[in-house]
Amino acid sequence: MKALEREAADLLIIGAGLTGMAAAVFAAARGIRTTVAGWTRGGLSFASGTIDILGVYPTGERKRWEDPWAAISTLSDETPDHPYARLGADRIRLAMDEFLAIVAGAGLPYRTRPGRNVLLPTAAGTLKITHGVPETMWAGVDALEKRARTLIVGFEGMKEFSSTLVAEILKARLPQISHATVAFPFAFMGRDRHNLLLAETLDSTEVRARVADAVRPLVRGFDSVGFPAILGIGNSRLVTADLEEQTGASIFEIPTMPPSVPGQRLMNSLELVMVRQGVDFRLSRRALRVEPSGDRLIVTLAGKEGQEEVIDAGGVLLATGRFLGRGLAADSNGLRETLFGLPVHQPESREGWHRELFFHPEGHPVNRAGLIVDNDFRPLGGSGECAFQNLFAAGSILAHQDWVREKSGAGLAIATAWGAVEAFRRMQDARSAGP
Amino acid sequence: METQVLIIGGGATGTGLARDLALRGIDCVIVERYDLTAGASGANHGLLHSGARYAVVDPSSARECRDESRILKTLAPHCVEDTGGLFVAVKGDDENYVADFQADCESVGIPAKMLTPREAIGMEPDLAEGIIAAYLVEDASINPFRLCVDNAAHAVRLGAKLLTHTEVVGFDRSGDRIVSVRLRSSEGEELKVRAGQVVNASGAWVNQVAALAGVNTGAVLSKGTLLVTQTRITDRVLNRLRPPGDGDIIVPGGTVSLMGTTSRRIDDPRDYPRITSSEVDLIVSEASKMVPLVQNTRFIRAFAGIRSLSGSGSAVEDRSFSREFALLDHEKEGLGNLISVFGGKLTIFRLIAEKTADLVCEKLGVSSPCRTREEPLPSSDTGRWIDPREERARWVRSHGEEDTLLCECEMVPLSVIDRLTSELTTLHRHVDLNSIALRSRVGKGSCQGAFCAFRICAHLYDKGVYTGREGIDELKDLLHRRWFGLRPVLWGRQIVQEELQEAIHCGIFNLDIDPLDEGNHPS
Repeated sequence: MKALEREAADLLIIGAGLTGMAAAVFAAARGIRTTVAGWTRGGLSFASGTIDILGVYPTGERKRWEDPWAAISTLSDETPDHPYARLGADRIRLAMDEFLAIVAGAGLPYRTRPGRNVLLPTAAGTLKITHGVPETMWAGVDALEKRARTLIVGFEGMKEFSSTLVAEILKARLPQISHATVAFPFAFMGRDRHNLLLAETLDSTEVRARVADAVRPLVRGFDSVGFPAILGIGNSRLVTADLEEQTGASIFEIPTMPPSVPGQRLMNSLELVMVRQGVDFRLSRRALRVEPSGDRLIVTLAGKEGQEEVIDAGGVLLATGRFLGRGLAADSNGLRETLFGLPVHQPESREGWHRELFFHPEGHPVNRAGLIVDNDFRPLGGSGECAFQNLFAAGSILAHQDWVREKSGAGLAIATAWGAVEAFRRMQDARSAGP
Repeated sequence: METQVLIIGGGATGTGLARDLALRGIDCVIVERYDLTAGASGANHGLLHSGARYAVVDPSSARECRDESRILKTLAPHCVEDTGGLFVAVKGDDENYVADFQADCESVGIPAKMLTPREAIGMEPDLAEGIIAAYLVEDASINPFRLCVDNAAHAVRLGAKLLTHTEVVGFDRSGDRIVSVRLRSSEGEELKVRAGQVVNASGAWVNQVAALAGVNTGAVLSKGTLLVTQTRITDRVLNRLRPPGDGDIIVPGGTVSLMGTTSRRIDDPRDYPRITSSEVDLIVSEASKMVPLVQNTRFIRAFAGIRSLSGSGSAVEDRSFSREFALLDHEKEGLGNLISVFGGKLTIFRLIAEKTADLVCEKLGVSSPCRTREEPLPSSDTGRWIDPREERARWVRSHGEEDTLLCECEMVPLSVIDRLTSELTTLHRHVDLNSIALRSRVGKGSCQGAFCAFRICAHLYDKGVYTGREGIDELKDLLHRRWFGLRPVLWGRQIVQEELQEAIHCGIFNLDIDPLDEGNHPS
């Protein structure tokens, strides 16, 4: 039987979510020959598309922070096991700056208030605390701060967006808020309107003009107009700017229930960067097994049709996520890491996984379970030493964090990806420097 | 408001009693603190007992089940799926019990056909290879929600009044009689009802209600936990052939299976009794002795019902308390027009209602025969979407273009939500996500309401039913309630689903830190 040809890579990233893609663009920027292999596109489809760094700490007190960097410093002092603590505020800032510059370069700029968290309205009428906001959502941040006269506009047939709902709940914050619903000026079959489909349709100038026509008469008397976050997929800034020009109002997007269009835009931008940088990006791949070979790791991947590929990698970055990503798996007895069988830091028994209150401020202990890493983001093995010199881990698979409650999802992904890539590079440099 | 009979409790007993009395031409009012089936009537196995389970240990119970299950199959077929049942024993089960089973069934007139293990496995391919005995019986699956909703609807059609989301807060006594009952609605409205007779059919709350009247029922409370699978794993009801114990029964419930149960004494009724991982593990372990694939099956939720049991003394094992019901005339305690009725099983609810109605009539000095042995239970409009086998098919064939599915897992269209909303507004003056969920299959599928609850909430805002924060607060409440059922079964694929839910509700929407107080936000 013919042995499969081994394909070489400096760094193989397993996992194609935000963590994996961020690591890939960081690695490529450093001249590291990178392959990314993942089964799905990760969690961005189920996210808002904003860049959360740290909004709440400690979660038990529900304490919100104006300054995410000050929050990170305090968190790092008090919880040295937190992945953020392994980096510190300064290095996290470097990582975020680099990331935002990269995606801006790919046509997806984010705006921040330097050194500050901001609030923006969501489709549930709630306020979301975050740091990096897509340009197309920024006017919503402004509208809240200035208590602007705001109109929320929804489209008929969007089951999960009700402008009435948003306005009714936000009226406590924005006294001069109103709402309207317009028909989507495009002939779809049936009544259902899927977010991504609507967004694509709005990329068309013609459709946009019709939307503007429908909305223009309603806008009189309002400074800001909020739409569900479906304003284009290819060039949302253009779509938003165009609508602003045609209606004469500030336009902002409101994050919706999944599928997330802003999340998709971020995925698309990162994919564009990876392509430009020559990253070998392979979707629909599962990692079957890994074997060490000298100071390299040989990883066998399987594709959708069962075809196998073998990657001979100088280093591997595990960015496989938690249960959704299948990086971790749970049976009724405990949690395990699915590829290497690495030890998973976890509560003593299943009874301690989840608290009785869904919205318990301290969150659920199982969410803080995961891989323990050293300061080089290498996961520890059974003996308490790092499992492999050339195995790294980043993202939500790491222990001692609860990104959902801390409001730190994107920050965790990006910063730890950066930390792991930097550590890989140090390892690479040390190896080429010789014994 | 004035009535002949005030019934406290909207479960199977209360609604069954109201229908029985209404059929006898007696005026009655049902008062229910939450919505129908809020107690054990909405948290049970859904099992229509053939009686075989009690043939060995409790022959008179067995006969009652035999008779009542046949009556319900005949008079309420739309609430019943006549699945048939099996009793199976595995190695290590009590061989004497197995040996006596068929004879004991026959002696109470309950058919129990012996099968070879091979035959049983032929009928239910997922049965364990090593079963040592099997019998075919006439067990069936019954939908308790539809049953109660239909009983209540028929009673109302015949002139009864149903007050949901209304709590009893006190009794006005004069001498040895209750003169009026003081009620409070969930909106805070106070109301007094003058009643000739009062029936306390409040299930797990019988003691609380009795105490308000200054009397005692001596009821003891026992919690029973059940697990719900994502897919139906057996065609028939499956019983363990041994003295009744924990984890004995797997009952099909439409597209899912319910397995359990347990029996844990508790002191106070709670809305959501705590389900421990040891109970869950025990149920999985016992059920998998009959059907090994249970070890790897996906559970979508767990729930626990609280039974009130009659009997006195200090029996250690709750199963030794009678499942026989208690019908207490508080005349003996100096209150001439209060009756408490509790205990029993869902299967014999009609009989319990009949006996209670007989006593009520006697005390009213009215002679009117029971008609519920003969009158078919009409299928109500409201109840049609609770177990919508035919309705769904009809909708697929002929729905309007504008009609869309608000719940995709369970195929519940917008038109049904609108109809239920309008009904709830007219009849109950109270619409909430939970009441809609009760009368449809919203939230019963694998996402357990995570997506559809939001959609329905959005729709109700569009319709002007919700204003201000009402809808979001109710959504959070729904998520909170749903959690009690999810938490005990969060592993495997279900924990993946839950990670997604938290990402959406806490990650995108920040519902966990909502509302943000004015004085405590960054900007």
